[in-house]
Amino acid sequence: MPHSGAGTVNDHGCLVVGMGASAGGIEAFSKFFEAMPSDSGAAFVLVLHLDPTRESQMAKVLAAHTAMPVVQVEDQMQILPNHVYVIAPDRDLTVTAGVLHLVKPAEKRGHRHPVDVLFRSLAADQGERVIAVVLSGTGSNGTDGLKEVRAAGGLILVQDPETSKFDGMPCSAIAAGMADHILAPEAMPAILGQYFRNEYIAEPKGGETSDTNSQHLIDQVLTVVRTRTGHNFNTYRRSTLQRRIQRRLSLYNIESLDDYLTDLRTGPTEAVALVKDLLINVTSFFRDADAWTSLCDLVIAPLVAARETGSTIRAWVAGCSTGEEAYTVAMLIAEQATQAGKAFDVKIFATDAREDNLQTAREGVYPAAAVTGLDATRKRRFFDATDATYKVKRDLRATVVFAPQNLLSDPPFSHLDLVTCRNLLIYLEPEAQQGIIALFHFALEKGGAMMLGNTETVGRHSGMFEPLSKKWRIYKRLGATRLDIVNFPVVRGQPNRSTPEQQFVVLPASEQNLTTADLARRALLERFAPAAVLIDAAGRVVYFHGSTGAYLEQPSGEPSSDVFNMAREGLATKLRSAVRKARDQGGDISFEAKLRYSAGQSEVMVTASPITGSGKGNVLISFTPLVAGTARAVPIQPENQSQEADLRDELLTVRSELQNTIEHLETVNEELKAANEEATSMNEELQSTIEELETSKEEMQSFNEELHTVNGQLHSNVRDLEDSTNDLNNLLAGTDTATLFLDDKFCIKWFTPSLRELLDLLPGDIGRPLDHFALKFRDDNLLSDAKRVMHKLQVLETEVSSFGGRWHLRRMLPYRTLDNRIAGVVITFFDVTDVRAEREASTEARIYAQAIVETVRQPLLVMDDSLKVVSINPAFAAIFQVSDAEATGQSVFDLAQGGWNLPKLRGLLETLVLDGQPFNDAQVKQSFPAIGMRHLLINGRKLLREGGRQSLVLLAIEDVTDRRRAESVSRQLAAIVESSRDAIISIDAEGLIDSWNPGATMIFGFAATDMIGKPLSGMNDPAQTDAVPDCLALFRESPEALHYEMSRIRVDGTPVWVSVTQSPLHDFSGALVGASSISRDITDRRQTEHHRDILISELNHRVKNSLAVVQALASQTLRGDISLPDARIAFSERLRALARAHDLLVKANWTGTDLASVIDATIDPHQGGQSRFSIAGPYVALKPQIAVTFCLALHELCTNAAKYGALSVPEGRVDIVWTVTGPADKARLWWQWTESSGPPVSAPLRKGFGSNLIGQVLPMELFGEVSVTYKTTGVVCVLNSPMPGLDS
Amino acid sequence: MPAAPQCLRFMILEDEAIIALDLAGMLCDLGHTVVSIANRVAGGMDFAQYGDLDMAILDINVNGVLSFPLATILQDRGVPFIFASGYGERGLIDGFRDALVLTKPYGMDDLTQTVAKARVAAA
Repeated sequence: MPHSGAGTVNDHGCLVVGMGASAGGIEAFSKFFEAMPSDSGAAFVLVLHLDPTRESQMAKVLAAHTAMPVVQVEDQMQILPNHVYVIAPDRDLTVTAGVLHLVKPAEKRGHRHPVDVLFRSLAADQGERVIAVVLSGTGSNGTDGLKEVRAAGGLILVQDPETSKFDGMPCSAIAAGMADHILAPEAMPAILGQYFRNEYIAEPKGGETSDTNSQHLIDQVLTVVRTRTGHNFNTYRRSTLQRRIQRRLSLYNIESLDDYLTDLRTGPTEAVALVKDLLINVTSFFRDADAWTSLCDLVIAPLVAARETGSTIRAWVAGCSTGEEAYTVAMLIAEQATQAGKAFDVKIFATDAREDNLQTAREGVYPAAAVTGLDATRKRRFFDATDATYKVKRDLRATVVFAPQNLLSDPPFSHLDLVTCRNLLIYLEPEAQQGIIALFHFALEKGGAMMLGNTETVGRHSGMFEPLSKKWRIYKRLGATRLDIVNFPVVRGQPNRSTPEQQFVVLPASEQNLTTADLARRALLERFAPAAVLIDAAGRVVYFHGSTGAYLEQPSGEPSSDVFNMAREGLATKLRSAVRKARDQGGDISFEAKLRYSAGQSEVMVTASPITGSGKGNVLISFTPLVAGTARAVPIQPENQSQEADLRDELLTVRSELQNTIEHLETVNEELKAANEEATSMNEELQSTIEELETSKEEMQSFNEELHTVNGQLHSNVRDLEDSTNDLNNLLAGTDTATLFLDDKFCIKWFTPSLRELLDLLPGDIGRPLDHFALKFRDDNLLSDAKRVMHKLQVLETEVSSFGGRWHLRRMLPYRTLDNRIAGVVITFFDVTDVRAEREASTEARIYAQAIVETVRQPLLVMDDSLKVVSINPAFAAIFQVSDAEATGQSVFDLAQGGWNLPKLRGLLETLVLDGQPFNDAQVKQSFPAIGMRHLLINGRKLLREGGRQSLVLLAIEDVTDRRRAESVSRQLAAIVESSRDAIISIDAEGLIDSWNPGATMIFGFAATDMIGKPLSGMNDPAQTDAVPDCLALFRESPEALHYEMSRIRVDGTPVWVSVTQSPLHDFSGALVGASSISRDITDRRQTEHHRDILISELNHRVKNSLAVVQALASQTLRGDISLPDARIAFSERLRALARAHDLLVKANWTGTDLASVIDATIDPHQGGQSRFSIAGPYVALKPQIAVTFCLALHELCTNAAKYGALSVPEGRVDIVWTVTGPADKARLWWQWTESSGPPVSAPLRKGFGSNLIGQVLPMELFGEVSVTYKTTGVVCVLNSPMPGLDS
Repeated sequence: MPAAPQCLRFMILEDEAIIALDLAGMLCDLGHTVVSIANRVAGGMDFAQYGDLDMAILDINVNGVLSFPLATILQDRGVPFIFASGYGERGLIDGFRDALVLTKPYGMDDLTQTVAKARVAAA
């Protein structure tokens, strides 16, 4: 038998191993090539996911692991044996006829499956020689390609997920059932080596083993498979079977079919694996999209157009594999229905022989890769997208019924509108192919369509199908149903197989089933009844009776059951009309016909009798041969009358029996139909039951998984418990804590080894009562305490001393079980000897510290870290007048009515509490309600305590109020001393200077450094006559301060008068330690006093002088003959003039005045209220004495004028004018008194005081000349003198 | 008024002209003659040195100038003199502590007695 494999043989005969990997692939490749001999003769094509943007270093990397040349693939590269080819980045790699091609990937980055691309092309190119290896990687890349490899009959190696760095790709391949071997990469070369040498590969397509022995063996294999799995492959193409079986042999490196047969019989899984291999499934949604488009256009669209809404559309997808094709049909129908706005009852039967495929199909869950061929609309309409998978939507899923069915062995479906069966027939022997085509013809409704795979044809049944599309193998059913050619598969008694819909199954009645009456009837019929055929409404013969050969024959060509076709020449036309008439009239129609045979001719009476009971247009056509000559119509020969009557009766009987039979058949037929309906619905129910069962199974599986998990957890819990027990044992043994467990009867339950120090116990003592043992420690209450703990459920602690002199803390607590039951007592003994010692030491330390705190004079305050007072010491209580009880527990800021609530202190304390930052000598000045203003220095420390106990804050307070006050006073005093202008000097008891203030430096000029340590007496003025008192000596007698004045010598040797105040200085015991000496510079005072003396003396002189002048005035006035009253008037006026002159001078502080002022003041009493004087002259300063003299002289002139001159009459006037002439240093005053408009005057007879004053005194005072002339117009007095003040 | 036993020639040193005139008047009333009235010490020095005089009456402070230099001249010539001063005897300086002093203001009696004393002293 010639081969027609799917692949072509590589021209070079060189084996190509396609290898795919992704993440973790380099490591796997490296391991693989390290184990792979370099002379295997095979070529290795490697595909990885490479970064498309980067140069690949793969070739270099792998070259280090193999002796074979490793190259990065370039386009059109020839594949050579013992070479390694690595894919280039950003390319898909395909192989055609031994040449490598690089193709730009169609899919965008992230959606590419380069491994699939390689595997597909290798499968197509290499056929069954293809070898595919899937190594570490994520995702499912490669799995789809492997399906094709499997379909081609290639070898598939998958890396053991255990050894894969990333097991996504291996697991995906394994889950898809693709792996022939699951191996670690380093184990693969050995398997490959065996495989290379195997006959399957070594002799590709090496002729079919024609020897009968091996044929027989293959039959045996098939038998085993059929018995094991129920799959009958008898009708499969022998060559294919042989290759597949050989492939199995090669996989396991089995030499002979005999051995394989043994393995098959004994091994539990090989039969299933072989079935899987034989039942090839390669499918996808819309595989060959153009084919589906054609199917849609040619078949589905017209079908949808022709059907009414609500009608049924039935389709059968035979060999549906994992369901993609079935869903494709469902989608197309749904789409077309939607487009046409119709709704149909769509029923798609999808069958396959492999239950695992059906399982997948029923679930309807597909990886994302499977639906990549679908456009977005379809994806959205028909699928629910989950993470990485797509699940067929419920409504689409409901239209498809998946059922296991073997086309070759199981009954078909019927009344179908469409059958698709793609790429199945190619694996079958032609005989089987034809059987299936016929089966499809039967299954299809008239006009139904059939779709086959691209390489499949209807073969010799072309008459039954009319091609709609030759290219895509779409056919339309032609002609009537030909039951004759349908080889209904024998229903095998297999209870576990669901029977598919059997719309039309005619079971040949077996002889045994007939009743006696039927037998009799049949005998009669055969004997007497004419040959007859029963035809149905379509004219098909449904039943033959008797020998009809004389009337009917099969025409040449395909067998036909059409009675009119079969009717012999001369009969057909009449028969057709008779049948029609019989149907129309409902009665028998007979006609005679002449039939011509080669041997002669005969006449026959044909009667067409409609079978009314059936109602189906069935007609019985009976043929009665006519004897020659009597071949007339109905009339019956008289001589044969009785016979004829008998015959007629008999015929009637037979006819009625026949009728009964027909009716019976029809009934049976109806029943069968009903049964069939039932079966159909039961089938549906079964389907749903199966689905439910599958769901339950899944649930069970997941439940099982959960149980596994729980079991695992329990295991781990048990382990944990063991660990805990170990830990506990080690802990108890390891700790020095002596522990004793007693049960509720106070018997020893368990103890730690260290307990032996306290109790002589041996492991064997467990279970014995405690009171049987002698204690090694003093404890009379052990048992009574244990009882108490048991009953009162309280924990007891007490200290017991052992006889060894050590102390133990005995703690007793109830032993509680997890369910809170008290099951005994646990007693632990802690060795507290050291603790006790420490406790005592700490108590001592505490007493010590306490004593210090109590004794110290500084107030101390201890607070917790929330600044609440913990304790205060007595000094604090005393100074701040607060009792310990009042203070304790209060916030420090509430103490002393908030007296401590100072922002500064608050800040310091907060910092201290938070950061532990101590502070020293923080100054606080605050008025406390009870004790007034206090000046405090505060030190703060945080006392960190061990064991996580709250830390404490310690404040040590120093009350420096008094010190501050004293300091303040002394500072003030120092400032006074410093700033005093008095010399403040202190001397010690020896009279030596020990302090010297700046005032002293200022007064005496000596610097302090020069004077300190020297005797104060060193500054005494040697010229001073009065003795300086010895103050120290005096102070020893009396502490009274001394005051005296003295002269001291300054640094420049000049004396300075000082007023001295000296006071004694005593120490606190009252002893004289020195003296202070305050000296005030009294030079100014003394000068003032001297000046004052001079002034007084001057005043005295001036007063006396004035009195002398007055005396002179008086004596002069009284001199001469003047009456006393006149004298008194004159004297008083002269005194007044003198007083006016004095007034002027006093106003000017006796420094002098000017001429005009003197004139104004003097003439004023003589004006008499009128302006009788005209006065004109420049400013002339006058000394006091001259002013007085001038004043008195002018007064005399005025008095004279008033008495005798111009002023004695109202119209009289006096002009006083003066000028100053000459240079400044020799200026002269010219002054003139001119009277006018007065009575005539004459020189007086006697010169009185006035004349003397004017004529003698004035010139004497002014060192000038005065002339007085008595003119008739009045007196004229002229003074001509040096300018007064120019003391010549 | 007692008659002057002897007419003496007087020099008056007095810066106050009225007082000088009055003194001159009184001396005249006592029968003496005033030969010079000086109202400045400097102006009187020549007369004191060279003038023909029997006695002098000197103001101590003459227009701010002490008259002791003039007095010393008179002392040296043996001319008796009398200080007339508001200061009294306190205004005298060493060397003139025993000099005769008329304390201003003085009356005719004071003048008479002091002149008489001066004559006695000078005799």
